[in-house]
Amino acid sequence: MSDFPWSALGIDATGDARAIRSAYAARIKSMDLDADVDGYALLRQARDQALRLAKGMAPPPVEAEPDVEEGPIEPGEDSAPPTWRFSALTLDGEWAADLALSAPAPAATDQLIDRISPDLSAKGGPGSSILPANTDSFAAPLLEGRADGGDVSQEALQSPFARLSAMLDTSGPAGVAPMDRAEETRALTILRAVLDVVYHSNVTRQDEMEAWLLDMFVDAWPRSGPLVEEANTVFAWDREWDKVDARPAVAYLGTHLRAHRFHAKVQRPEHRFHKAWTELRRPGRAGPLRALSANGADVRQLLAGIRKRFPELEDHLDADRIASWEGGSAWPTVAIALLALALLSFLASLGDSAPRPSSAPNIVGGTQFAADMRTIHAANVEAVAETFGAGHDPGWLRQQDSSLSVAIENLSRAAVQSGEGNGGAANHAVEFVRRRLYLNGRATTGEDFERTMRLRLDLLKAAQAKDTATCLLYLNAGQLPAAVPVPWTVRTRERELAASFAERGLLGQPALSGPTTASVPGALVANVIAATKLPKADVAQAMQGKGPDTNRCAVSIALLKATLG
Amino acid sequence: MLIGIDLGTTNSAVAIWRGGEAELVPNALGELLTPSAVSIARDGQTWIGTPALDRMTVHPQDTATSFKRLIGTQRTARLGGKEYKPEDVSAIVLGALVRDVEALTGEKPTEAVITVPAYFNDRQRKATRRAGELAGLTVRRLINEPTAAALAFGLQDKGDREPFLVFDLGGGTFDVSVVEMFDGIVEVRASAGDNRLGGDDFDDALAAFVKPRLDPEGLLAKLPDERRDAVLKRAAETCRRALSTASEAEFALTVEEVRLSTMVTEAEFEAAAEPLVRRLREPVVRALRDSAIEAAELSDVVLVGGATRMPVVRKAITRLFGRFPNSSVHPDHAVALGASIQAGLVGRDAALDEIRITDVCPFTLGIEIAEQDRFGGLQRGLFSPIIERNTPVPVSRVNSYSTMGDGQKQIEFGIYQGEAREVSGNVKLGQLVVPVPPRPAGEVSAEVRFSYDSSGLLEVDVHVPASGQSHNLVIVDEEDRPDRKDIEKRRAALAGLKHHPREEAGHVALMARAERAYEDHIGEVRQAIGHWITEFVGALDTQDPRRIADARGFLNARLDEIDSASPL
Repeated sequence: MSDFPWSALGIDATGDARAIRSAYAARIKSMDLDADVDGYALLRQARDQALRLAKGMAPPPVEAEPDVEEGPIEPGEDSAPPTWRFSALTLDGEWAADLALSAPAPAATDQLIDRISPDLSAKGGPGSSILPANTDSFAAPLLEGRADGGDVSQEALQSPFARLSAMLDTSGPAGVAPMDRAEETRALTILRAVLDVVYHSNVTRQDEMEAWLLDMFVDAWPRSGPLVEEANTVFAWDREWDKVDARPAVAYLGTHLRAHRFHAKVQRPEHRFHKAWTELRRPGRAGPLRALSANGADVRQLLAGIRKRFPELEDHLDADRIASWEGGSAWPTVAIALLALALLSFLASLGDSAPRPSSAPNIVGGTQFAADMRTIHAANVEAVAETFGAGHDPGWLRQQDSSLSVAIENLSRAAVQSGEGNGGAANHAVEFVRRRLYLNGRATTGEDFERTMRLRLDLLKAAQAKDTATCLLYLNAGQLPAAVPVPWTVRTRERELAASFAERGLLGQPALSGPTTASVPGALVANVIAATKLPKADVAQAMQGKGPDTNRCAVSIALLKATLG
Repeated sequence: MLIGIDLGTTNSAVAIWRGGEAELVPNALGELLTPSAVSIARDGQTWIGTPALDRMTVHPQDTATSFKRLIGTQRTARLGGKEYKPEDVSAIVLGALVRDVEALTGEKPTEAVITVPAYFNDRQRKATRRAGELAGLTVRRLINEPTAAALAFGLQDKGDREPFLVFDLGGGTFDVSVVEMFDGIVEVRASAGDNRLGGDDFDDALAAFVKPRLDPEGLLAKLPDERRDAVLKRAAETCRRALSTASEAEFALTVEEVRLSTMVTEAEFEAAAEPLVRRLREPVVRALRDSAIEAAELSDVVLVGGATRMPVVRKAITRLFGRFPNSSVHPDHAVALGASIQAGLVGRDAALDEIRITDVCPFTLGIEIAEQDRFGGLQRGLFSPIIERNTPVPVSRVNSYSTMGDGQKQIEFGIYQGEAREVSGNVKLGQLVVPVPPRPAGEVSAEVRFSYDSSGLLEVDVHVPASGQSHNLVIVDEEDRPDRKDIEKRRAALAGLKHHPREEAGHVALMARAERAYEDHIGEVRQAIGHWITEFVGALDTQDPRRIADARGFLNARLDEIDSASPL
């Protein structure tokens, strides 16, 4: 068959697509398809291959074929790995410019972030002057919140695509941390604008935009969680994600979103499996009287269900407890079902269909998956210890605040999956808790408030020592990268405060708070002027969030210092 | 004689291929479309089509419509005190179409090509085939509705066509197919659909939206369920059709001598229909994705099915494709015409010598498997595809599977159709149990071959190399076997139904219509209608053809006046 596909078509090699299709048509007419099924398959394959050759594109090696979508009707491409990351998005119309930037490569995304919101970029840089000034009165910087409000007029200039991309940028300060309520509201508003553009586009454009959103949502999970629910109402991913050929991104979001939903439901006491769930979460082995605390059938059903559908939820359960429940149960002895081994095809010899990858990983998936899970767990253990101090582990954290423990675990998972390793996981966790410590701590009173503010003062100093941009980032957004060197004693205090807050459930979602104004007593202002050696006018400006960045940083520190005495 | 039949949810039609052309056959009332409605009285007297539809609101307990939506299920309808399966009622309609062809050509047709929605599953297809057999027809082939429409569209000028898309929204089903035509080869590249979405759903949505406003006092709740549903459906359908040409329409019905009425605006209807319009997107996207064609590359978007007349649907289509659709084929006729072209092809008509059609299998076929999960547990009930959706048919594929248990003595093959990862979400087509020599787990393998022919017939072969044995299952036989014994009996039962003589069809239809109008109105109008009916019945009794013709013309004209004078 050296001359395939031309021999099958009965023509000489040609670049003329019409000639190929005519030859195909002539052959089809001379055969009885039902009597010669294999001949028909071969003929089709010959035509498709000839058309590809004619296009000047020799069929690449099967596994390099980039477009899996052609699979079902283009035999021979079945085994192409699905490509769904960063497919380019070309859009006409008013948002075209932004999309060109936001679509493909990570590098371009960085650029985009710089352009849209330099204040959110860890690199800081020349754009700092458009930092949103969210206080217009003589506000005390120490009470200044964060920059989440943004400047509406600035934002309005950008397409919703760019804005959404910025909010879900995982290289940004927020990483994949869940959004707070204000961010969520804003992101949903932007998403609705995006979906509106989608609604008014033709299906192919819709398809491209859908792929773009899918990529972004997968990258930013779990931060993207609330948005997935909303987008699902338009794209009906829930109709796809349990399908045998669901796109990987849809399947990924489907699994996580359903796990998320189930997790929320099972924690309610009225849920059918609530008792079983609680039982499996108890630490340590179950005693012989375990049947008293939960119905054995329920426990086994829950475990089987979780393993089948939401493997990630098993991390919420106690391994010893699971083991003791499993020990008592006998595995089904009759196995009349089958194990898919390999997908041999009769037509494989003809090259019509190659083994598909979809079933192979399922068989060996167990070991690889288990290894991944262990890596994630190790990273999580380290992240929790780094954040709350030695002697604190994920089990402890789960007892204190389960949603926080989930959030940190997700950060660890993301760090491991993106290759940042245990160090990356620890950094993300520290940054995440640091932000919450401040945002929640400023809403406390008495000793907690004082400890929060003293910690902030020391962290601001550390940030200032790094550079002004870092200082302002922490000042405005509550973000201080873990890479910034912080004195050992300060870190110890931070860990103690974090653990203390966690134990009292004070590290939950920060409450929404707008800019607050307060008048600063003259004596304090005088103190600040003395400490910073700045003219009075500059100090006043800086306190209103105006003026040069260095001044704002210095004034904030001086004012905080003066206030704390 | 071989005929082509479009057995629709709302309307059915029959066409024949003769003299090198497809030709629709009129029914006894001279109409090309016969509503898919059947009404059977206690004495076995049967109304089919328009008169049955008119009897719907008056005798809902004796009348069935939209039964295509139930075909392939175990649900039955009780008409005239007897139980009928959906395929029985379908067979009654098919019987009427057969008689129409006989009346036109003088020859009783014995074979047919019947169309089914592309997204009909195997059970629904088999039930349709049985309906044909019950009507005394040998069903030579079942062909997908959008494929039939594509044939009718593609053969208009027999020229080549770049890929076009058939958008088929009927009364109860929605199909999308991407088709191209080159050198006489009509090639379906991909089909997708939703076999639970159609014009009926838009009626239901409208009725649900209007009900609280129409009937704040809950008068409708006093009616028996079937009557309430019938009057609401009829009113909704009338209102929806009116909204296709006007920006506002009346939704009106009469309950217990009380007339309920409210105005519905186009915008309100659009809002009520929004969730349904959203569901149009997914099959379109899937068909385009599966055929690797972009919306902009399509040479045409061809509309088929009565529900595509709705402006709300047209708007969605224009938006989805960024262009206006092609209306060059008659949305209600194309499918039947295409079926008769297929009949000509099956009959190897010389005029169609240069035409071939290739279709795809629109859904995935495979078997149930279990896999070992990462904890060593068994995950049962998983679906392993063998023939993937939108594979061109005929096709034959083999996959290899092996035993999971030590000393396992047999393998059970559950055969399924669908797209869900777990078989519980798919349709079970059959089961095959194959004995295997007991060996350690994984050492015995079995090769499973699926062969799917162009009629949609699936054959499963299992070969066990270790024992050298082969087993075969023709799915269609498996399901049909119990019915085979039954089929003659059912056919005899249906033959016992009384049909009106063809020459009386006009009178019968008029009487049904008059009776419906009588029920629909109150007060003086009702009295007047009653009077006209008595006059007409009196004329019939004289058996004087002239008097009858006069009375019929008079009554028809009056009823036309009443129907067009709305609101009262």
